[in-house]
Amino acid sequence: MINRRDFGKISLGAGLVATMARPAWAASAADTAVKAAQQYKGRTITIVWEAGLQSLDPTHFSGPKWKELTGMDVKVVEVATAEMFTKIMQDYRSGAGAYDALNVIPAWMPDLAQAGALEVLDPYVEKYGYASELQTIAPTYRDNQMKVRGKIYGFPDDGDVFLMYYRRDLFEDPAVQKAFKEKTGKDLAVPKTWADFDVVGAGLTDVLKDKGIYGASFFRQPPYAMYMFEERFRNEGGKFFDADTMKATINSDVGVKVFTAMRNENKFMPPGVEQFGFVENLATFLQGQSAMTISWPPYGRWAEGYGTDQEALNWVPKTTIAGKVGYALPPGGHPELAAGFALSISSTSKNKDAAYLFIQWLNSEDVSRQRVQLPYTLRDPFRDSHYTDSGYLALWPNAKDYLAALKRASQTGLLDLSLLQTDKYEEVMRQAISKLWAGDDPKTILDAAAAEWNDITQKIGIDKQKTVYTAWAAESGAYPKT
Amino acid sequence: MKDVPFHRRKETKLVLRYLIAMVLVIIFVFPIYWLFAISFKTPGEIFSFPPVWYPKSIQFNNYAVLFKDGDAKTVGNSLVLSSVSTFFAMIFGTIAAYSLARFKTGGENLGVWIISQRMMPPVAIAFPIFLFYVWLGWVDTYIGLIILYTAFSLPYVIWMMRGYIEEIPLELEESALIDGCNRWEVLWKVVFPMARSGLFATAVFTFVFSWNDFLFALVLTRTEVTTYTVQVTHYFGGQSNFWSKIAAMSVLGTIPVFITVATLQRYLVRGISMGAVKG
Repeated sequence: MINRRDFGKISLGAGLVATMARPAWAASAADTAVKAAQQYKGRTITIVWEAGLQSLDPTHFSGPKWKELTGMDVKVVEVATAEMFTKIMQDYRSGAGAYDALNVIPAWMPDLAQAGALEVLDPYVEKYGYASELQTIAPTYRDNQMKVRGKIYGFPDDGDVFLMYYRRDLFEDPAVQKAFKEKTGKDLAVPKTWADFDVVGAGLTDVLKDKGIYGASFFRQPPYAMYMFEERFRNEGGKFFDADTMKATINSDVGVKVFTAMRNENKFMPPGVEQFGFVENLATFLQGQSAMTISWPPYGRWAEGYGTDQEALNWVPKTTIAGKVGYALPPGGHPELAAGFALSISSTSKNKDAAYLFIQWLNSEDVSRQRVQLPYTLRDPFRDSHYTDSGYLALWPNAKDYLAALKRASQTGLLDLSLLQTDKYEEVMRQAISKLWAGDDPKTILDAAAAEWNDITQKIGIDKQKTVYTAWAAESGAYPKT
Repeated sequence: MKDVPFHRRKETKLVLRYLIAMVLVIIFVFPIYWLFAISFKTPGEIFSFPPVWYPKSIQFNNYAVLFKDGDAKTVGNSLVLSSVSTFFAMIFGTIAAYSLARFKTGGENLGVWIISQRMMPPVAIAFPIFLFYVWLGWVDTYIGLIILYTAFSLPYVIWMMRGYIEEIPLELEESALIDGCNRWEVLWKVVFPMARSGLFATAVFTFVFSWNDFLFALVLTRTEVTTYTVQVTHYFGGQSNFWSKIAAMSVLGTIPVFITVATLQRYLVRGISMGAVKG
């Protein structure tokens, strides 16, 4: 069995061969970065990375590879996601300059850029000839997760997006189709709208519950459900704010409809679904106990068993549904990008050029193609070429369907709400969702949440926030283009 | 209604009392049992529904991984930081407490002012301390956290030890002084032995406070002196929760405190029942 170290070595070898095999006249962004970085041999750059699986990329793969190519060490500071913003801001405010390169969740960018914590990358992009390769990042990420006020502050580096995963074998089973038709009077099909989803989910639970299978299961813990609400609310026509007054409009009829439906749907999902997090929901789906679910791309890989024999992934429940999974866009057709990561440079770094070259190399076409295929690091495809890469397409029998769904998502995805002090607004939403699961009235919850949002906006400054919101709402992925 | 004999009523009450005690024990012990159980389970058992109540076979992989990847070092860091800071806090705190108790240093209100420092929310000073430590170059160093934990524990030690020392009859110290002891010898030969239970009880609580610290460890460490409390958070990701590692690391983090409390239990009970916490 290949363990993670072996995989790292194999990938390293393949990468080196690929890099060396390129003709001199076609220097890629990766080649350029390596060549320019060799002058910094012996230096160490420090990069902040999400703790856990994500950090296996720089510690096992890209860090050692960069060292081999340039002689530079990469020191990885692992930080839990929830603490990353604070750590980055704290380092900036103190002027410590302890971090050179950063992983930044794109929704934080306005705050970090406004504070001055991030280095503007345009001059480096020009200096090291990265502009053309940057353009080959898939549209939703490129157009939404790279710039603040027209300047580049980060390179989109993770194709996080929600997809719907469904049990193809059940949807194609004539007996299930017949029973479903008898129960609901409708043909069984993968739902394209939330109204369809309610019918299909409830119907499948009725048909399959005796076999221990529910129509659907979702992660419902507030930090996850918050993203699901954001996505669905906009797909159903909701807007977060009145663009003129900056009054929150999450308590509109659409908001109440979405909240009410979310709670009602729990009734046909497994017991205790309100407490399901990423892993509990994954276990439910992989053990064949739900017919549909929505999540980030790793669900699709792990459902097929890709890489789950590796030590780093031994915590992933064994899949019982490999070869039986279908991939689709979630109802509404505009999936939430939901977090993601961009690579940035700390404005207080003492090794800006060296750190920049490292992130250019990481993010480049050559190297990112290898990184998104590492089974253990959770970096998801985010470049046009990732979706059509022959190596990726061959990883499991229906990888082509998975990559095709991701490609569609990369064209229609919705950007996370991204304002000044976004986390304060998100915290209100997380609390609202907790109250929803506790059984409070949806309208009352959302009225209170909207009032809290208005208070936050008031404190930040209505005009100040309006400028940021207006710029955000003008992004291609802010609201669905009908 | 038929009268129930007295001895039967007594037996029923006893049985009831034992039943309630058993239920309470199960309620309080179950989370600890569950933590241990998960740490020995396979990933499949962790996610089973209905739950697997006990691991089918005890396997130590979850622990082995922590040692292999070097994560277990963070428990060692916690041990060093908590032990050394407790040692210094006890030394300086006891001397200060003696001064307050016997010489009324700073007047009657100094003790109250000192303990009030312990009531300050740590988050209020976290960032100023971080800035100061950046300036000193103490971020991510043992010395930085040891000094901080010592300083943060001192008010508690002083307050507790002052109470214990005040309970020691003054006549004993006066006799020792008449016999030719100086103040340091009085402290060493009379006060310390007499307040032994209080010393151990205070040391245990001080150790536990430092052991449990999360905030300062999070703010003031990066990679070198990460403590186990911070390390546990590294196992929670947006798209991954390493429950087996979380459980195994939590067990490793529980053992030193468990051993400390179990070893010093008899002093702990006596210490708590005398001195300042007696009310």
